[in-house]
Amino acid sequence: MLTLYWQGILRRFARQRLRSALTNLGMMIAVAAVMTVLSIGEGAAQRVETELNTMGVQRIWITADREEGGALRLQDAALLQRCMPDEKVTALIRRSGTVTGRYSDDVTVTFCQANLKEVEEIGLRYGRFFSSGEEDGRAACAIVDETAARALWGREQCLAKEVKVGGISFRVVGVAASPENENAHAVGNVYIPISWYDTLEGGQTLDEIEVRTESRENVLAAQQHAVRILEKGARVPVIASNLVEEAEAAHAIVETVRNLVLCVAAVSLLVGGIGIMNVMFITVRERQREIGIRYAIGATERQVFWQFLWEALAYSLLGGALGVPTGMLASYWGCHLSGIAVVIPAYAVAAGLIFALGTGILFGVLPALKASRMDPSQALRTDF
Amino acid sequence: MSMPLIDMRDIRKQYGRCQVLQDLSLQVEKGEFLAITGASGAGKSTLLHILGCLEPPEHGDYYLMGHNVSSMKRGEVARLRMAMLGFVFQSFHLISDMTAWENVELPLIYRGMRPGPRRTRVAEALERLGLAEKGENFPGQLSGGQAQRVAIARALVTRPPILLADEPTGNLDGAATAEVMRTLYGLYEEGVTVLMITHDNRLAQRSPRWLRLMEGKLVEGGDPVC
Repeated sequence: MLTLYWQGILRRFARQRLRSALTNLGMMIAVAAVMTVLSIGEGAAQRVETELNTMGVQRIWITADREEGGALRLQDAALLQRCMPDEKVTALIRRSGTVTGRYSDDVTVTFCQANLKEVEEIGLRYGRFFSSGEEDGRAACAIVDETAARALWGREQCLAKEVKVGGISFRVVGVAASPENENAHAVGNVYIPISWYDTLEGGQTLDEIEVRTESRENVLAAQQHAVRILEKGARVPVIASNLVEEAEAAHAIVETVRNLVLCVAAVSLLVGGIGIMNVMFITVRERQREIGIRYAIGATERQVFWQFLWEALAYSLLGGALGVPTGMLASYWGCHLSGIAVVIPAYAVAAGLIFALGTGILFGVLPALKASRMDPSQALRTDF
Repeated sequence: MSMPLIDMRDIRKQYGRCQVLQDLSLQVEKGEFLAITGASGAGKSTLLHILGCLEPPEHGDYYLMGHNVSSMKRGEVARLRMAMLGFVFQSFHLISDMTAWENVELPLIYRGMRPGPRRTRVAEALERLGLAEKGENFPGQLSGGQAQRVAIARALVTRPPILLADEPTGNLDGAATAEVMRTLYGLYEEGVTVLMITHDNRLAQRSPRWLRLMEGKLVEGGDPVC
């Protein structure tokens, strides 16, 4: 029976090419729209996640509450690391100053510990970061980022060159990657061991302690724990902050926008489905006599019902099948033009096809019911 | 005395204010050939549709091989129609996007017959009507006579005991008409009960039994029934 239905359907499609093409076009566009929205939404969500990770969604920034007379020192960072062995804790001080290579420029000098590389996920273009041994031994080594390298040496590869910070020469052992979206007026960074801070700046007070948690879910609990350790253990009043709320807000915005656009895509599914229903009602009317003949030669209501429902499904599934590659193409261009990674998740393809199937069933049932309930005698008398 | 194959009693059918069939009664025995004539609008097609279980009467009883059709549900009627009746229509009523073979095969598909026996039955039906070479032709590629013979083959492929023919020669020329009538008489001789609606009195006169539909009732034909 299924072969019989599909044979007839394909012959009718071939005979009524324009009608079939226009009906399929509606469903094709609808499925492509759904797929594209889901794909771009997924790409956008991933982009937001990447950007948040870059900004430090798993990090906690702890500064001393100076109004309460707080001041952070290296031993406070060490205490925190001992009490939070699963997290990575690092201490740093940032200062602006003039650094000299071949050229001189104003950069940010970060006095830091060796594990800043892991905490801030600093990627290296050339060379390496200084080690904890070099940190403890006050080795005169430095890491510059690409922006600073270009400013101080006119090029990015400046390993083994020397930069002068506060009159002291530091050998460049590594060149760090600068952020991708850095603007033209960005200030370069130079990292040197925190053990030099006392010598160069004459102080021991830290600017901040950074903590990197194992996962985003741990951030709030870890922050509370860290504050408790410092305020009760080290008796240092502190202020702590994180990006969890901002991250959740960003995700909520992406989700809301995606759902809104999905609603618009759903409207196109509705339009496609109405198109199918309209064509099927016309088809049933045109083929009244044929329906009467089928009843006369032995068809049951159920057989007539399924004949027309399969025809509606054929429109929606064919449109859906055409919509998938169209959606992939649209997703590719949409992601490309938006500057996000091209992501076409499998569930977007599945969703497109399932929506096509569902639309065919939903909008094909009424015309199929009309055909199956037709009076055979009246049907045979029609002029069509 | 054996039960009639068709037994209609006091059948009434009205369309609007027009009483088409008025207390019509009809009995047809197994193996009969009955021609029914009448003027345009007399209700011939209505009578055929009631006989063919396509339309219920408003009043009266209709027994088809002992089954009271008037009291059956739509699904039961459809099954009875499939088992007992074959239809031949004036305009052939072949499905245009199916080949001759597929048109003849369709009733067997509706019955749920398996492909193997189905193929055999269809081939036999087409062979019997002299259409073995025309199986792959679509209705638009057949002459009037050939198309009507395909319709007859379709009607017979389920081997129904009763064949209902509504103006089977209405759209045919002389030669094709003779061809179709030869076929119908051939079936009659094989024991098929044939009821033929026709406007052609000459064809009706040659039939073994002839009734005329007038004012909602069946009269004449040498065997008055009301």
